[in-house]
Amino acid sequence: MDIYLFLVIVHLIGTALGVGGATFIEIFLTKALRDGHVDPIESDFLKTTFTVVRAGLILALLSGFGFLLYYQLNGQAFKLYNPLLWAKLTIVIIIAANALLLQAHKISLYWGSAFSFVSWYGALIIGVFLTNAKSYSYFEVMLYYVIAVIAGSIILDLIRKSFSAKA
Amino acid sequence: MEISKTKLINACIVGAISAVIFIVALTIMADLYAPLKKLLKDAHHHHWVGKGIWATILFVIVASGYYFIKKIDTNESTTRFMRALTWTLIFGALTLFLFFVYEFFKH
Amino acid sequence: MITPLLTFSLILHVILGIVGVAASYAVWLELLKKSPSLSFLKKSSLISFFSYLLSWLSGGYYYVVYYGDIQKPKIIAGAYPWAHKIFTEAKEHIFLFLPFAVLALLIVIWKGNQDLSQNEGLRKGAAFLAGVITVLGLLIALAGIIISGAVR
Repeated sequence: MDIYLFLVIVHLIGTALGVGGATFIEIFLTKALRDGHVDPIESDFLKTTFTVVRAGLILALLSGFGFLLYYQLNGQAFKLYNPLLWAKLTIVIIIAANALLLQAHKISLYWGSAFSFVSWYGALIIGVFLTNAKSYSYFEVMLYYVIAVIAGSIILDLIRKSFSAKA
Repeated sequence: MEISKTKLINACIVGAISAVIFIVALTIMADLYAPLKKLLKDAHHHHWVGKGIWATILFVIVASGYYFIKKIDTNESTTRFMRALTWTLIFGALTLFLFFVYEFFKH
Repeated sequence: MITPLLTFSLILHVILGIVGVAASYAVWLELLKKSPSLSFLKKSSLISFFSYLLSWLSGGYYYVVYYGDIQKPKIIAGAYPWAHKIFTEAKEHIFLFLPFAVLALLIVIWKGNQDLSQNEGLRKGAAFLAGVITVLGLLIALAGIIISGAVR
């Protein structure tokens, strides 16, 4: 197995844990908030899922920088100026910043969950575009991202409300 | 916190503040005054290595000096010193970045 | 010609730099809690310090032995001279701050003990310091990508 393949595998595992974890955080949160509060068992499930997401982020980050090193050492330094790469890096930074804001209670659940959920899927989609040599400008991608976050916040809120209405 | 623990903590923070200020000042001076940069390079093989070595020496001197000279120290001073270090980092980084932007456009 | 040792230094520099940023981010995140786990803070701050220190040393070796003579002229002569003149120059000097700042934070956490959970001012001050260290580490990492991309 060559190093590039190894990096792809680790990166995919990290992404799977992150995207999957972010998805289940939303599912568990929706279920937990049906009765208006999060009980200790529900909180425990959420904490475990947060840990899985963080593990995914670390694996994705380390392998991601591994790719950048690989490009530099193999005469593909031009890839480091790809606007899609910088859009993906921005979104990863937003994931990390969002986690801090949620921890410090400086962002509402409405926006915090939207940023988390949309950012993970956004990073995954951009990763697919990068692999398939798609071409978009940084600002184009970030504009779509902002629209997705706004749409995501509305949709996730509607889902939560419809589940608590049924409870 | 016991006084000796507080003094050790504050000594490290004050040492770090002095190291950061020193690095910023030496970097700008060495860039503006070529003989200084050459002196660092001749003494330490590379100017960057020289800056690192002298910053470390200054950190040790200032931290030790603070630890052995200061008689009384408090928790409140630790909080103040930490904030001072944080702001020094911010302004130090900004100063250096803007300096190099200025140098780039000047030449 | 890049030697295996220089390649290893570069890899170590980048990976340990990211580990350092991740560890100082973990410290920052933990300090935002009202009752942070001291054991977690101690481990994370220790990982952060040694990662930044070893990244500093391995990066320094690569920079002094290889970058200056081989890569710097390519960047300056290429399409992105600002990558060296602004980003390398800023990065190499700002990175000098970090081991001292991270050491100070490490000592606060290791020697501060119970005071971090009992003294809110101290905890917030430490969180602010950890935050700035993390942001600087991150900006330095991003500068590294810009510089590497300019070597063509």
